[in-house]
Amino acid sequence: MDNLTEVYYFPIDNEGNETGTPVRIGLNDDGSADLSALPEGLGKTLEAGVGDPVLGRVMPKDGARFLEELLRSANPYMRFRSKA
Amino acid sequence: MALATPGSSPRKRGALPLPRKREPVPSAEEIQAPEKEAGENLEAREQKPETPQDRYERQRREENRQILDRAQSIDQRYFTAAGSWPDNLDKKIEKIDLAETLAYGEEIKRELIGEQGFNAITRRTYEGVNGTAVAYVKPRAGDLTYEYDPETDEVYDVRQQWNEDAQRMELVSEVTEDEYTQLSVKEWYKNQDNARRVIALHYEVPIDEIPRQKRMTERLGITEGSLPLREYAASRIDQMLGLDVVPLTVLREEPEQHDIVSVQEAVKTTDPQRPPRVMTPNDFLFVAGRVPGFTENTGPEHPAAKSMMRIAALHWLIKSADAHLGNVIYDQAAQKYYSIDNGVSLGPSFVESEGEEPRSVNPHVSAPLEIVNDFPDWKLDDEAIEGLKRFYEETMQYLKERESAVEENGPISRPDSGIKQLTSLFRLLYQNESAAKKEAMELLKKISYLIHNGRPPILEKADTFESGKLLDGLKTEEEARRKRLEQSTANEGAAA
Repeated sequence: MDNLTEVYYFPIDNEGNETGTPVRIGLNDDGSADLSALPEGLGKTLEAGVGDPVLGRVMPKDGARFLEELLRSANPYMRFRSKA
Repeated sequence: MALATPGSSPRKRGALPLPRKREPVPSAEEIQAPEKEAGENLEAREQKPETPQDRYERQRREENRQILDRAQSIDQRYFTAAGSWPDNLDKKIEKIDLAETLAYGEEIKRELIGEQGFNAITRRTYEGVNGTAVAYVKPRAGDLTYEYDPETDEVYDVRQQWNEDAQRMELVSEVTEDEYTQLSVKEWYKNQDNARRVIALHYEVPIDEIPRQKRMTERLGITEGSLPLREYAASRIDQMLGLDVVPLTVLREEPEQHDIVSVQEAVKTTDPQRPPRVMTPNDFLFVAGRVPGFTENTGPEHPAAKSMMRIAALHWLIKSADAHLGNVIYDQAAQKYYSIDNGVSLGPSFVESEGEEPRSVNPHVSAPLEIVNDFPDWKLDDEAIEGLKRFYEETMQYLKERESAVEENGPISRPDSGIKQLTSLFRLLYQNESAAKKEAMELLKKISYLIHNGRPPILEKADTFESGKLLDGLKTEEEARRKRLEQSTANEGAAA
């Protein structure tokens, strides 16, 4: 996963079905993760970082590591996958 | 005894090239295990000597069978004792029906919603005699673990992979590339005997009862393959105490791979326009009444605040250690929070492995606990306190009766008592009688604390959500909104 440059967020409907177009999270020129296309609330949640605080919380500025951590931290209500 | 020996935590950060297959190295326990009858699908090989892989598969199936039997026995007692639950009759029946559908319903739909190799959660629909239910399913065989091979001085990432042809689960490993993981796993391996001594002291058991661990997981004290079990135990404790903030979860057999899965009901909402979603910091600004202009019907009486306080109490009780914001789900229609992904919880109550004496440390990592820290006047709602009191008083009554019965007619046993069910759950997790009893009594003391203080204690920031950024973020956002409002008011004033 060294070369991970993008992951996709899949919005869900009330039934838990994926709906709409997947949202791409890529990398900015400075190497940080670009959260600008995400729904506002989710973007704010992720700005605080993802992953386990004890083992090492990963922030958007960490770029590819952050994207990898998104895949790890995904759950049924916050779906991220490496391909659209 | 399957208490994990603590040590430094590794963290996988390196690349994940295609797995390089390696013969799995059985542990000392695996090699020395007594010969028993082969599993049903292995009988065809009875003429051949048992290979390490066969033995691993046989033991895995036996262990899964035992776990499932015990969980079913716990649930049978729990649901039979439904009369003592705090819910009304309709809700009781609804829960029993749902548990039955999740545990025994026919699977009619399945889809992978995670990422294979990272987060292989599936969404499934079950059809039972009492209706259908949608649930999220986690396999027991899904953990990533780490193993140190002293002969090669290498650290390996180890995963389980189902071999369809051989009809068995196989351990697939690759050399760990991440330097930090290598160092920490080696440190853990070297420090294991000391850690075993600490654990033995803490639980007052002979050190022989603490086996050396072959593989370690990413989290201290959380044994390999135990996440679905802890997910299930967290749900059952939530139900027993009447907190009702964890979606109902059961353990279920996964026949194709002879595995066990945890099955957690999906959070559903009544408003199709507002699906359940992960918590955002902004939600809580409104709930707390910290958004200027939106302060009516907010504060501790807000339904969302009640559920947040209940989750914080539960996380304190079960030593929740992975409750980041993404694992707190908000049902917008009901204005209620739920706690999901509780697999990293209910670990041993210490992690210190240096020195002779066990040192109790606070293992909590919970955003809800951190949030309620900032509202020291907020208390649990009356109904939640009633649920805790019911459990506590019934337990104390049972313990008194048992004590007097021992003096008069010998011991009594009431399998449906809450504390007996709790201890049974803990036996499943800690697999040691002394540890299970000690953990159950510690939890009982914490329940007593909640009853008397109305809320979990204020925990130091360092012991909870390390980032501290959540509340900083809340405060920054709050401040920004206030400034915007002041600016806007000032502009209006100037214009007037």
